[in-house]
Amino acid sequence: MLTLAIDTATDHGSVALCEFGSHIHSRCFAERTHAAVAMAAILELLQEVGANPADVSRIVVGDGPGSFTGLRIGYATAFGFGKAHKNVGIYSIASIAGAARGASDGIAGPVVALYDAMRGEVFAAAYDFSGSNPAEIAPPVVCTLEELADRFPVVAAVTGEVALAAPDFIHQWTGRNPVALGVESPVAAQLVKLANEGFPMVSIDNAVAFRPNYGRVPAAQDKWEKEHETELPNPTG
Amino acid sequence: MSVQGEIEGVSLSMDGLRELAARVFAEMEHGAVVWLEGELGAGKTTFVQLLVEEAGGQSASSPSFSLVNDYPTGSGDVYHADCYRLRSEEEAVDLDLWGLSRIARLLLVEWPTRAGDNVPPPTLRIIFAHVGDPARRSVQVKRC
Repeated sequence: MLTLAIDTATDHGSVALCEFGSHIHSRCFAERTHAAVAMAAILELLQEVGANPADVSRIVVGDGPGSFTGLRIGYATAFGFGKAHKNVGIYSIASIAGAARGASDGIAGPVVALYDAMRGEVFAAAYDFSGSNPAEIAPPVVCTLEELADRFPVVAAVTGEVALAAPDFIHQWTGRNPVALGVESPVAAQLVKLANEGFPMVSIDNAVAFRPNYGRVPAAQDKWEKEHETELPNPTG
Repeated sequence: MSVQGEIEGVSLSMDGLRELAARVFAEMEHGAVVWLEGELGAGKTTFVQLLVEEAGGQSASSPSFSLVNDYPTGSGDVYHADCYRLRSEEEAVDLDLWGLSRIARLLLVEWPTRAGDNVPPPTLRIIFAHVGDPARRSVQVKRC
Protein backbone atom coordinates (compact mmCIF):
# COMPACT_ATOMS: atom_id res chain seq x y z
CA MET A 1 0.00 0.00 0.00
CA LEU A 2 1.60 3.25 -1.15
CA THR A 3 0.66 6.13 1.17
CA LEU A 4 1.12 9.78 0.31
CA ALA A 5 0.90 12.44 3.04
CA ILE A 6 0.54 16.17 2.53
CA ASP A 7 0.96 18.69 5.33
CA THR A 8 0.47 22.36 4.55
CA ALA A 9 -1.16 23.50 7.80
CA THR A 10 1.69 25.75 8.89
CA ASP A 11 4.25 27.94 7.17
CA HIS A 12 6.56 24.96 6.70
CA GLY A 13 4.92 22.34 4.52
CA SER A 14 5.99 18.83 3.66
CA VAL A 15 5.00 15.78 1.66
CA ALA A 16 5.93 12.15 2.27
CA LEU A 17 5.54 8.87 0.45
CA CYS A 18 5.89 5.35 1.78
CA GLU A 19 5.22 1.80 0.73
CA PHE A 20 3.91 0.06 3.86
CA GLY A 21 6.82 -1.25 5.89
CA SER A 22 9.44 0.58 3.84
CA HIS A 23 11.50 3.72 4.27
CA ILE A 24 9.53 6.99 4.36
CA HIS A 25 10.61 9.41 1.63
CA SER A 26 9.83 13.07 2.31
CA ARG A 27 10.36 16.64 1.19
CA CYS A 28 10.05 19.89 3.17
CA PHE A 29 9.05 23.16 1.54
CA ALA A 30 10.63 26.53 2.04
CA GLU A 31 8.43 28.91 3.98
CA ARG A 32 5.16 29.88 2.21
CA THR A 33 5.71 28.05 -1.05
CA HIS A 34 2.96 25.45 -0.63
CA ALA A 35 0.99 26.24 -3.77
CA ALA A 36 4.03 26.40 -5.99
CA VAL A 37 5.91 23.41 -4.63
CA ALA A 38 3.53 20.73 -3.29
CA MET A 39 2.66 18.93 -6.51
CA ALA A 40 6.19 19.17 -7.89
CA ALA A 41 7.52 17.67 -4.66
CA ILE A 42 5.00 14.82 -4.84
CA LEU A 43 6.05 13.99 -8.40
CA GLU A 44 9.68 14.09 -7.33
CA LEU A 45 8.98 11.62 -4.53
CA LEU A 46 7.09 9.31 -6.89
CA GLN A 47 10.08 9.33 -9.23
CA GLU A 48 12.41 8.67 -6.30
CA VAL A 49 10.55 5.50 -5.31
CA GLY A 50 9.93 4.45 -8.91
CA ALA A 51 6.15 4.70 -8.68
CA ASN A 52 3.42 6.27 -10.76
CA PRO A 53 0.64 8.54 -9.46
CA ALA A 54 -1.83 5.70 -10.09
CA ASP A 55 0.11 3.51 -7.64
CA VAL A 56 -0.87 5.71 -4.66
CA SER A 57 -3.65 3.95 -2.77
CA ARG A 58 -4.27 6.46 -0.01
CA ILE A 59 -3.56 10.10 0.74
CA VAL A 60 -3.38 11.44 4.29
CA VAL A 61 -3.83 15.19 4.62
CA GLY A 62 -2.68 17.09 7.70
CA ASP A 63 -5.88 18.62 9.04
CA GLY A 64 -4.57 21.58 10.96
CA PRO A 65 -5.39 23.35 12.99
CA GLY A 66 -3.77 26.03 10.96
CA SER A 67 -3.56 28.30 7.99
CA PHE A 68 -6.62 28.85 5.79
CA THR A 69 -4.64 29.04 2.57
CA GLY A 70 -2.29 26.28 3.64
CA LEU A 71 -5.04 23.81 4.51
CA ARG A 72 -6.94 24.55 1.33
CA ILE A 73 -3.82 24.02 -0.77
CA GLY A 74 -3.23 20.67 0.92
CA TYR A 75 -6.78 19.46 0.47
CA ALA A 76 -7.12 20.83 -3.05
CA THR A 77 -3.94 18.97 -4.00
CA ALA A 78 -5.28 15.74 -2.50
CA PHE A 79 -8.73 16.12 -4.06
CA GLY A 80 -7.22 16.95 -7.44
CA PHE A 81 -5.06 13.84 -7.17
CA GLY A 82 -8.11 11.84 -6.14
CA LYS A 83 -10.12 13.12 -9.07
CA ALA A 84 -7.44 11.97 -11.50
CA HIS A 85 -6.97 8.60 -9.82
CA LYS A 86 -10.30 7.21 -8.69
CA ASN A 87 -8.98 4.36 -6.56
CA VAL A 88 -7.17 6.53 -4.06
CA GLY A 89 -8.72 6.94 -0.60
CA ILE A 90 -8.39 10.35 1.05
CA TYR A 91 -8.06 10.64 4.83
CA SER A 92 -7.17 13.27 7.37
CA ILE A 93 -5.22 13.28 10.61
CA ALA A 94 -4.63 16.44 12.62
CA SER A 95 -1.36 17.93 11.51
CA ILE A 96 -0.58 18.71 15.14
CA ALA A 97 -0.83 14.97 15.91
CA GLY A 98 1.93 14.45 13.37
CA ALA A 99 4.06 17.03 15.14
CA ALA A 100 3.47 15.25 18.45
CA ARG A 101 4.34 11.87 16.93
CA GLY A 102 7.64 13.28 15.72
CA ALA A 103 8.65 14.07 19.28
CA SER A 104 7.36 10.87 20.85
CA ASP A 105 10.04 8.27 20.25
CA GLY A 106 11.23 6.98 23.62
CA ILE A 107 8.65 9.05 25.50
CA ALA A 108 6.25 7.33 27.91
CA GLY A 109 3.19 9.46 28.53
CA PRO A 110 1.38 12.42 27.02
CA VAL A 111 3.10 14.42 24.29
CA VAL A 112 1.72 17.93 23.88
CA ALA A 113 2.19 19.75 20.59
CA LEU A 114 1.78 23.50 20.25
CA TYR A 115 1.05 25.45 17.07
CA ASP A 116 0.77 29.21 16.73
CA ALA A 117 -2.91 30.25 16.73
CA MET A 118 -2.04 33.95 16.37
CA ARG A 119 -3.71 36.67 18.44
CA GLY A 120 -1.48 35.73 21.41
CA GLU A 121 -2.80 32.18 21.64
CA VAL A 122 -1.73 28.65 20.75
CA PHE A 123 -3.34 25.52 19.42
CA ALA A 124 -2.55 22.71 21.85
CA ALA A 125 -3.31 19.01 21.71
CA ALA A 126 -2.09 15.93 23.60
CA TYR A 127 -1.42 12.39 22.41
CA ASP A 128 -0.09 9.19 23.87
CA PHE A 129 1.89 7.01 21.50
CA SER A 130 3.56 4.82 24.13
CA GLY A 131 1.01 1.99 24.18
CA SER A 132 0.01 -0.42 21.46
CA ASN A 133 -2.87 1.86 20.47
CA PRO A 134 -1.69 5.42 19.72
CA ALA A 135 -4.42 7.75 20.87
CA GLU A 136 -5.54 11.34 21.14
CA ILE A 137 -5.80 12.37 24.80
CA ALA A 138 -6.99 15.93 24.21
CA PRO A 139 -8.11 17.28 20.82
CA PRO A 140 -6.74 20.62 19.60
CA VAL A 141 -7.89 23.61 21.65
CA VAL A 142 -7.09 27.31 21.54
CA CYS A 143 -5.62 28.77 24.72
CA THR A 144 -2.91 31.04 26.03
CA LEU A 145 0.47 29.77 27.12
CA GLU A 146 -0.47 30.58 30.70
CA GLU A 147 -3.50 28.26 30.51
CA LEU A 148 -1.48 25.26 29.39
CA ALA A 149 -0.52 24.05 32.86
CA ASP A 150 -4.17 23.80 33.92
CA ARG A 151 -5.29 22.16 30.70
CA PHE A 152 -2.40 19.69 30.51
CA PRO A 153 -1.35 18.81 34.07
CA VAL A 154 0.55 15.65 33.06
CA VAL A 155 3.09 16.09 30.29
CA ALA A 156 5.95 13.86 29.22
CA ALA A 157 7.14 16.02 26.30
CA VAL A 158 6.25 19.24 24.52
CA THR A 159 6.97 20.03 20.89
CA GLY A 160 5.96 22.41 18.12
CA GLU A 161 7.16 25.71 16.75
CA VAL A 162 5.68 27.68 19.65
CA ALA A 163 7.34 25.45 22.24
CA LEU A 164 10.72 25.77 20.59
CA ALA A 165 10.37 29.55 20.59
CA ALA A 166 9.65 29.61 24.33
CA PRO A 167 12.04 27.04 25.89
CA ASP A 168 12.23 28.76 29.26
CA PHE A 169 8.48 28.80 29.63
CA ILE A 170 8.19 25.14 28.62
CA HIS A 171 10.90 24.16 31.11
CA GLN A 172 9.18 26.08 33.87
CA TRP A 173 5.88 24.34 33.03
CA THR A 174 7.09 20.77 32.52
CA GLY A 175 10.59 20.63 33.95
CA ARG A 176 11.83 19.61 30.51
CA ASN A 177 13.11 21.32 27.39
CA PRO A 178 10.90 21.28 24.29
CA VAL A 179 11.62 18.56 21.76
CA ALA A 180 12.48 19.60 18.21
CA LEU A 181 11.09 17.86 15.16
CA GLY A 182 13.98 16.92 12.91
CA VAL A 183 14.17 18.23 9.36
CA GLU A 184 14.63 14.63 8.24
CA SER A 185 11.29 13.69 9.80
CA PRO A 186 8.80 16.43 8.86
CA VAL A 187 5.13 16.35 9.82
CA ALA A 188 4.07 14.67 6.57
CA ALA A 189 6.43 11.78 7.34
CA GLN A 190 4.89 11.51 10.80
CA LEU A 191 1.41 11.40 9.27
CA VAL A 192 2.46 8.44 7.12
CA LYS A 193 3.86 6.78 10.24
CA LEU A 194 0.63 7.37 12.14
CA ALA A 195 -1.45 5.98 9.28
CA ASN A 196 0.71 2.87 9.15
CA GLU A 197 0.47 2.49 12.95
CA GLY A 198 -3.32 2.48 12.87
CA PHE A 199 -3.86 5.94 14.34
CA PRO A 200 -7.53 6.93 13.90
CA MET A 201 -8.09 8.73 10.59
CA VAL A 202 -11.11 10.50 9.14
CA SER A 203 -12.13 9.15 5.76
CA ILE A 204 -13.16 11.95 3.40
CA ASP A 205 -15.82 10.62 1.08
CA ASN A 206 -17.43 13.93 0.15
CA ALA A 207 -14.91 16.59 -0.75
CA VAL A 208 -17.59 19.24 -1.30
CA ALA A 209 -19.09 18.84 2.16
CA PHE A 210 -15.78 18.49 3.99
CA ARG A 211 -14.50 21.40 6.08
CA PRO A 212 -10.87 21.60 7.18
CA ASN A 213 -10.06 22.30 10.81
CA TYR A 214 -8.93 25.92 10.75
CA GLY A 215 -8.94 25.75 14.55
CA ARG A 216 -10.71 29.00 15.29
CA VAL A 217 -13.15 31.43 13.78
CA PRO A 218 -11.76 34.22 11.58
CA ALA A 219 -10.79 37.46 13.31
CA ALA A 220 -13.60 39.33 11.52
CA GLN A 221 -16.21 36.83 12.75
CA ASP A 222 -14.80 36.95 16.27
CA LYS A 223 -15.02 40.76 16.24
CA TRP A 224 -18.58 40.71 14.87
CA GLU A 225 -19.75 38.20 17.50
CA LYS A 226 -18.21 40.22 20.33
CA GLU A 227 -19.76 43.44 19.06
CA HIS A 228 -23.19 41.87 18.61
CA GLU A 229 -22.96 39.54 21.63
CA THR A 230 -24.27 36.66 19.56
CA GLU A 231 -22.96 34.00 17.23
CA LEU A 232 -22.89 34.90 13.57
CA PRO A 233 -25.92 33.10 12.11
CA ASN A 234 -24.38 32.22 8.75
CA PRO A 235 -20.62 32.42 9.01
CA THR A 236 -18.88 32.37 5.66
CA GLY A 237 -15.82 30.44 4.58
CA MET B 1 -24.30 56.34 -12.04
CA SER B 2 -20.73 56.37 -13.36
CA VAL B 3 -17.96 54.94 -11.19
CA GLN B 4 -15.34 57.28 -12.68
CA GLY B 5 -16.14 59.89 -10.05
CA GLU B 6 -16.79 59.40 -6.34
CA ILE B 7 -20.12 58.16 -5.07
CA GLU B 8 -20.76 59.16 -1.49
CA GLY B 9 -22.80 56.83 0.66
CA VAL B 10 -25.86 56.27 -1.52
CA SER B 11 -28.50 53.83 -0.33
CA LEU B 12 -29.05 51.15 -2.95
CA SER B 13 -31.63 48.40 -3.37
CA MET B 14 -30.71 45.10 -4.98
CA ASP B 15 -31.55 46.58 -8.39
CA GLY B 16 -29.30 49.54 -7.62
CA LEU B 17 -26.48 47.23 -6.61
CA ARG B 18 -26.93 45.32 -9.86
CA GLU B 19 -26.74 48.55 -11.85
CA LEU B 20 -23.59 49.55 -9.97
CA ALA B 21 -22.05 46.13 -10.62
CA ALA B 22 -22.76 46.47 -14.34
CA ARG B 23 -21.17 49.92 -14.33
CA VAL B 24 -18.06 48.68 -12.56
CA PHE B 25 -17.59 45.89 -15.07
CA ALA B 26 -18.25 48.16 -18.05
CA GLU B 27 -16.15 51.13 -16.94
CA MET B 28 -13.17 49.57 -15.21
CA GLU B 29 -10.14 49.05 -17.42
CA HIS B 30 -8.54 45.64 -18.05
CA GLY B 31 -6.56 44.60 -14.95
CA ALA B 32 -8.37 46.94 -12.58
CA VAL B 33 -8.27 45.97 -8.91
CA VAL B 34 -11.49 46.53 -7.00
CA TRP B 35 -11.35 46.44 -3.21
CA LEU B 36 -14.65 45.45 -1.60
CA GLU B 37 -14.85 46.64 1.97
CA GLY B 38 -17.40 46.61 4.76
CA GLU B 39 -18.38 44.50 7.71
CA LEU B 40 -19.79 40.99 7.59
CA GLY B 41 -23.04 40.73 5.67
CA ALA B 42 -22.70 44.24 4.23
CA GLY B 43 -23.13 43.03 0.66
CA LYS B 44 -19.64 42.36 -0.67
CA THR B 45 -20.20 38.79 -1.86
CA THR B 46 -23.66 39.66 -3.18
CA PHE B 47 -22.04 42.42 -5.22
CA VAL B 48 -19.56 39.91 -6.64
CA GLN B 49 -22.41 37.60 -7.62
CA LEU B 50 -24.21 40.45 -9.34
CA LEU B 51 -21.09 41.63 -11.15
CA VAL B 52 -20.29 38.14 -12.41
CA GLU B 53 -23.87 37.77 -13.65
CA GLU B 54 -23.74 41.13 -15.38
CA ALA B 55 -20.38 40.21 -16.92
CA GLY B 56 -21.89 37.06 -18.40
CA GLY B 57 -19.88 34.74 -16.20
CA GLN B 58 -21.22 31.92 -14.10
CA SER B 59 -22.74 32.79 -10.74
CA ALA B 60 -20.24 33.35 -7.97
CA SER B 61 -20.22 30.97 -5.03
CA SER B 62 -17.84 29.89 -2.29
CA PRO B 63 -16.55 26.42 -3.17
CA SER B 64 -14.96 24.75 -0.17
CA PHE B 65 -11.46 24.50 -1.50
CA SER B 66 -10.99 27.47 -3.72
CA LEU B 67 -8.60 30.22 -2.75
CA VAL B 68 -9.52 32.45 -5.65
CA ASN B 69 -12.63 32.06 -7.80
CA ASP B 70 -12.12 32.43 -11.55
CA TYR B 71 -15.05 33.51 -13.73
CA PRO B 72 -14.33 33.58 -17.45
CA THR B 73 -16.25 36.26 -19.33
CA GLY B 74 -16.27 37.26 -22.97
CA SER B 75 -13.65 39.95 -22.32
CA GLY B 76 -11.36 38.10 -19.94
CA ASP B 77 -11.42 36.45 -16.53
CA VAL B 78 -12.88 38.05 -13.43
CA TYR B 79 -11.03 36.83 -10.35
CA HIS B 80 -12.55 37.01 -6.89
CA ALA B 81 -10.44 36.59 -3.76
CA ASP B 82 -11.84 36.67 -0.23
CA CYS B 83 -9.20 37.38 2.41
CA TYR B 84 -11.71 36.99 5.24
CA ARG B 85 -10.12 33.93 6.79
CA LEU B 86 -6.48 34.92 6.44
CA ARG B 87 -4.77 34.82 9.83
CA SER B 88 -1.80 36.85 8.71
CA GLU B 89 -0.72 38.94 5.75
CA GLU B 90 1.88 36.31 4.87
CA GLU B 91 -0.84 33.75 4.17
CA ALA B 92 -1.88 35.88 1.19
CA VAL B 93 1.40 35.12 -0.58
CA ASP B 94 -0.11 31.86 -1.81
CA LEU B 95 -3.00 33.75 -3.41
CA ASP B 96 -0.61 35.50 -5.84
CA LEU B 97 -2.91 38.50 -6.14
CA TRP B 98 -0.24 40.59 -7.88
CA GLY B 99 0.14 37.88 -10.53
CA LEU B 100 -3.61 37.63 -10.98
CA SER B 101 -3.95 41.39 -11.42
CA ARG B 102 -1.65 41.17 -14.45
CA ILE B 103 -3.88 38.70 -16.29
CA ALA B 104 -7.33 39.60 -14.95
CA ARG B 105 -10.09 41.47 -16.68
CA LEU B 106 -11.00 42.48 -13.14
CA LEU B 107 -9.64 41.43 -9.75
CA LEU B 108 -12.20 41.71 -6.95
CA VAL B 109 -10.81 41.45 -3.43
CA GLU B 110 -12.89 41.18 -0.26
CA TRP B 111 -11.22 42.09 3.08
CA PRO B 112 -8.17 43.38 1.14
CA THR B 113 -6.40 44.94 4.09
CA ARG B 114 -5.96 41.51 5.65
CA ALA B 115 -3.51 40.72 2.83
CA GLY B 116 -1.23 43.70 3.57
CA ASP B 117 1.25 44.36 0.78
CA ASN B 118 0.30 41.10 -0.89
CA VAL B 119 -2.71 42.72 -2.52
CA PRO B 120 -2.20 45.30 -5.30
CA PRO B 121 -3.42 48.81 -4.56
CA PRO B 122 -7.00 49.49 -5.60
CA THR B 123 -8.16 51.07 -8.82
CA LEU B 124 -11.54 51.38 -7.16
CA ARG B 125 -12.71 50.98 -3.57
CA ILE B 126 -16.33 50.11 -2.87
CA ILE B 127 -17.34 50.37 0.76
CA PHE B 128 -20.58 48.71 1.82
CA ALA B 129 -22.51 49.31 5.03
CA HIS B 130 -25.79 48.29 6.58
CA VAL B 131 -28.64 50.81 6.73
CA GLY B 132 -31.93 50.66 8.63
CA ASP B 133 -33.74 48.93 5.77
CA PRO B 134 -32.36 45.37 5.51
CA ALA B 135 -33.20 45.31 1.77
CA ARG B 136 -30.84 48.21 1.08
CA ARG B 137 -27.14 48.93 1.55
CA SER B 138 -25.17 52.12 1.84
CA VAL B 139 -22.48 52.17 -0.84
CA GLN B 140 -19.49 54.45 -1.14
CA VAL B 141 -17.33 54.33 -4.28
CA LYS B 142 -13.85 55.83 -4.40
CA ARG B 143 -11.79 55.99 -7.58
CA CYS B 144 -8.13 55.72 -6.58
